[in-house]
Amino acid sequence: MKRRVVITGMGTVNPLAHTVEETWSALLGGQSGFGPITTFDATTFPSRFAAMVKDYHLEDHVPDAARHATAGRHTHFAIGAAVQAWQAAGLAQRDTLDREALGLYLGSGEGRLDFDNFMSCIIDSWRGGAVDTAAWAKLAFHRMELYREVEQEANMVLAHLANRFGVAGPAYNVLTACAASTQAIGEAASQIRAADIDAAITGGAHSMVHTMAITGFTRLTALSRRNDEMETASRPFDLTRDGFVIGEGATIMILEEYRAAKKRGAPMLAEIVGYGSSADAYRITDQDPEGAGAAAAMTAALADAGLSPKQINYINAHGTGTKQNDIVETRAVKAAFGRHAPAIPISSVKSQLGHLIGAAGATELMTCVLALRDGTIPPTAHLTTPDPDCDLDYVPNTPRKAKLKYVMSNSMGFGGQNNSLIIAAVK
Amino acid sequence: MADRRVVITGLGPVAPSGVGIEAFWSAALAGRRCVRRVEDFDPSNFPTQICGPLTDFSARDFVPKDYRKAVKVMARDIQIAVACADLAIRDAGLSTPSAPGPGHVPDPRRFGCNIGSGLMCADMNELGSALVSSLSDGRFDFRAWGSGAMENLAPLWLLKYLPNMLACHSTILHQCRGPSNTIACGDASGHLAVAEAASWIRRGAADVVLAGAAESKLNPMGLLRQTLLGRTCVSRNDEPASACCPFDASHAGTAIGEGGGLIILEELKHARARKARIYAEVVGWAAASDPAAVDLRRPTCGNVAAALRRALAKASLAPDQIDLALPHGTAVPAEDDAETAAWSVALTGRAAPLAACTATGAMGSLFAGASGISTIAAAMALHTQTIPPTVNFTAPAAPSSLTFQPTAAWTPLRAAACASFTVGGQSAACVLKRYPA
Amino acid sequence: MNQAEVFEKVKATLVDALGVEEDEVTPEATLTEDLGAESIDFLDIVFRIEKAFNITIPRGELFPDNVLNNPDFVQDGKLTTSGLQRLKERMPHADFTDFEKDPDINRMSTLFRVQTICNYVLTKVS
Repeated sequence: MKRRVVITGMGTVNPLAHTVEETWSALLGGQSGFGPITTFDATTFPSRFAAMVKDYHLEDHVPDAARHATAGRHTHFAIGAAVQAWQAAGLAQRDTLDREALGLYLGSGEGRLDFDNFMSCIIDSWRGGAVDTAAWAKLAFHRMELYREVEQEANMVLAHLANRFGVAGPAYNVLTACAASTQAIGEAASQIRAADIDAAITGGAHSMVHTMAITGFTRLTALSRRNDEMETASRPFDLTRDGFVIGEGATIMILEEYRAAKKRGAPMLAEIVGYGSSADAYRITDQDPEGAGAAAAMTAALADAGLSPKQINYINAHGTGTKQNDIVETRAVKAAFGRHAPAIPISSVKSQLGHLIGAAGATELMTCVLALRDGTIPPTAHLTTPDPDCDLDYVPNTPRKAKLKYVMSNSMGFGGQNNSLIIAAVK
Repeated sequence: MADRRVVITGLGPVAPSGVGIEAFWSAALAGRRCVRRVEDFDPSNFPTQICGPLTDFSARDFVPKDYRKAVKVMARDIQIAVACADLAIRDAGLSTPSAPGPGHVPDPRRFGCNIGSGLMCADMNELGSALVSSLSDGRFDFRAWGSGAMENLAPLWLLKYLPNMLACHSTILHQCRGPSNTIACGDASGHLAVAEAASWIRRGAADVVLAGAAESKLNPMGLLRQTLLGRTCVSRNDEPASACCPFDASHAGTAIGEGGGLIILEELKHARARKARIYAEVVGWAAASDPAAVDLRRPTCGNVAAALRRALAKASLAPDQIDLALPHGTAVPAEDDAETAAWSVALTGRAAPLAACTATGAMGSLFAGASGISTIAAAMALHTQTIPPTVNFTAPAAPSSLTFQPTAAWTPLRAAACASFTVGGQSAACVLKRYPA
Repeated sequence: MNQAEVFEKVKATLVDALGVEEDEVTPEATLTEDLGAESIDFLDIVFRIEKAFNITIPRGELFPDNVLNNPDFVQDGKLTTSGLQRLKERMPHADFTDFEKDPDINRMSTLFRVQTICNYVLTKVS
């Protein structure tokens, strides 16, 4: 008998809010999560703003925050989100999950570079146009610290969540750039289907609002530079877009096998019915101009779910607000959905949340679960000057009531990895 | 889809001992030792001054002429993966745009890619030459950096260090447009990638997958971090070749190597239809986690006993049906001891000791790359019915159910189990079976 | 620096940046179609030209990037008269003879030729 997978709990820490419901109200209320960068002095940078998580304190979420004192900023977000999800799934009250059959599957990013010490060691050992590694080593062994270094490894978020929830089952972390947490949820669901595990803690956490990542994306000219209008700077599908707004955060979900979830009386928020993954295999950063790669992931998800294109009622777009993405994604939807494409509402919550990179997919899937629950499609904000090359229904600026049965969420990673998920209400 | 079986048809190792399967395997059988003094940078103020480097390696030899421009945006880890991919595909007799040949052209939509990757270290000289243009009073000045100095950093700098670029370049070069993933889970990444790739084939999401991992921590930051962790051998800088001795009574820490291994996994009927050479069948895979491993000062092997137990169960094999073990073998004493104990637990019920081998002594730790390399070694051992020697091993550090041999041994091998674990507490295991059985 | 010297240096830069052979880099060659440049290569080329000639190239000056964001300048996938006018002002270093015949935005890459870079550099170094 086919094993079905349901979402039984969700939690989030993101630029709009630190709970699921507050995030949803903020999205529907048209709020924007963007503000000045506060993690370092960015006042002279070409892009001085980001979608920052604000006023977040791990101690507000756990009584023993000191346990995670050495962890990175994104790990703290992940713990807050995971504790919420665990609670929402009813597991804080009555925990019956078998730890051997509980997996972890995250799309988490690297931890933060110990920037000041890393830089000062290079600068202070700079001799004749290169680092003198003998001098460098003396300084570095003195200045750098074990935990700050090792916590940069992308698998360390797993270590903290495994510790907190006693996970002894499989633990994976993936980093397919902007598609990571969509992929994590898809693969976690696949492991439950294959009976490798019965439940999973899954999602993503990332913070790239740090000096070197902002520098790197700035040098690639990928970020919006609308410093004077930062609140409306993320403009997916709008002709006046000028790049994405980088963000940070975490969203964690609890997935369970349907019968086991039913047996323990778990809340059933949605069922994961389809997952598809593909690669553009086109160019390093240019997307396949016809959107064939992204379309292949959508088509694979439809096939996995056994659905035809016309059955999808809403598509949550990757929608970064870069010219290339928006046009390619539009073409990809047309390629995958054919003549049904114009009739399907599409929106990008990145217009308000920003681009949470590794955490983007999970956070966006969370908004799909809420859309399904309330029959409300979150809008694409800041869409006032439609791009003629983006000629589908992007639900501009105001939420829309709609009967939703099947909802698709898309993520397209920098580097060409594409992932699509389809969810449905639990029957 | 339960009748879909997964076999290995191509092997692409890039290791300090050899590049390509012939060089790699003959070096393995000969027990060639590759750990030497660090030459790429001045290690004189590091407690550990030895490493297992790749020699005479250039990714330019593994990409077509029109792709050479991209080598400049590849960190060493990415270059290794690109070479592994080319070698694995050619070894499998597949024909792709970048590795054209008379062989079978895989359907791009059914050709997946799953390459594990580690944390890549920025080239300090490249970064430094931009940084020093931003100083005020000898310190880094954020305002000078933001208002112009950052423009001295190459615009494509970030692309060199994104972990999914191992897969990105490989998929472009070989037109793998099926499922694609990048596992970033430390040393376990390669086995996790092979495991997930096998599950894709089993469930029908792909027919052919390029899978494995590659990494290079052979740079000052990598050496610093491993030294801070207390994992490197600090006492044998004068005798590098014999410094790294996993499971041996004299084990005293690891050396940093670099390299990787990618393999071609293929659905059995697909492989047979094109008359592919089949090295081995992948019959079991699993992963596990140690919740206590967040404490970095506590030695761990990531609950690898559970990963092995589950992988054997998935393979429907009992411990006494395995004839070869390929443990991770870091040569870090506490990790070796934990891993030895874990194998004993996993092999509970088995009467005789189990023959084992590890390549760490010969080339140092390859981190994510190690689990790619050990999968390749397992496949070759089964294919040639040969156990390669474990160098630098004379007497076990602790009572063990594993036995290591000083020279290569030809012996019937039905199945092999390989496993890996990482700092932070994740582990993975894969079980391979001789094909035909 | 004369035209021939500029060309030789631009050629060397493009050989490095794009991994092409020297004889492929002719003045008429288009960066995208003939020399295989993708969008990130344009960033790399600007960076390398800056270093090679010790000049500063403000963003969008050599390769304008935001003309297309203005609805007054683009209609039905073609540059309007005012759009074309604006682009000409922004790119005095480009030869518009061919592009003007059909100002389809998908043909903009025909403006980005090796000679375009040489012309731009000449205005900067002289």
